[in-house]
Amino acid sequence: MPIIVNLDIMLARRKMSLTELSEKVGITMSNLSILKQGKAKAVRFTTLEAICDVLECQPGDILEFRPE
Amino acid sequence: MKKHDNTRGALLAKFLLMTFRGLFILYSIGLVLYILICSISLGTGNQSQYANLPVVFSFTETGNLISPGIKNAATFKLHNATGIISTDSLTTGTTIFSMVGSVLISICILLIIKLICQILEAAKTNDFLVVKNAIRMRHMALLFIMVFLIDKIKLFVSSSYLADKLEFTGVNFNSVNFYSFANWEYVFFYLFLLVIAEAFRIGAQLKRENDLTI
Repeated sequence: MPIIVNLDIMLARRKMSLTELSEKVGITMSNLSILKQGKAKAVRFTTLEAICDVLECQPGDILEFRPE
Repeated sequence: MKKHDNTRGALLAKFLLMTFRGLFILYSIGLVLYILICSISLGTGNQSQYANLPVVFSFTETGNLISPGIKNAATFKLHNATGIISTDSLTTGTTIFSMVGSVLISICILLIIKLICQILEAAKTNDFLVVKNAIRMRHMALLFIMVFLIDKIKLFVSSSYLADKLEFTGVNFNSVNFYSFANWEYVFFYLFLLVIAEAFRIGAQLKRENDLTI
């Protein structure tokens, strides 16, 4: 898929675990795992907003476009 | 309230699954016995006993239609009724034709019941709206159409073959005619089932996308 989710890079930078992020954002571990593995079909703006708020970053820090 | 509905739904699915599994077992036993008996009767030369050949017939005479309160009885004619004949002397080819038709229909019905069981098993695990079930519904619709067509072909061939070979006082045996195409509206229902299956598939895809929307 051309859209890459760099969640683990941001988590490493902020020294946060996926479990911690899940608790702070309010998304289940399984959903975050789907997002992290790039299996998600779509992301809601509200979810993106919550993740960016917790990780103190921009959407572009998490999402990257890489043409196939 | 929602939990109560879910429990009732689960119980209904369980009950239907048990019923269809029982039907599957009974039907399979019936089919196996039928094949065994037909094979034995073909081998022993007593082949016609278990052949069923559909025919289309009409009465040559008119009958009386008696309505209460009406003085003079009206008359009626019987057109293109269907029935099944059995006879002691059939050619081996005719017998095999009849038996193969019955076996094919039974196999299709068994497959339909098996597909229904698979759909109900998926319903039990709350995995109902998936593409696999849509494909199963599509296969069910195609099998229903096949059963219908085999039945009609058997009727057409049998009635055409026997039309000039049967004699019965007051009865005319007909071959293929306009009335042979009666009751074809059922095929529209089976085609509609194909449409439902396609809608189901699209629904399953939408659900999958929704499930993968974070």
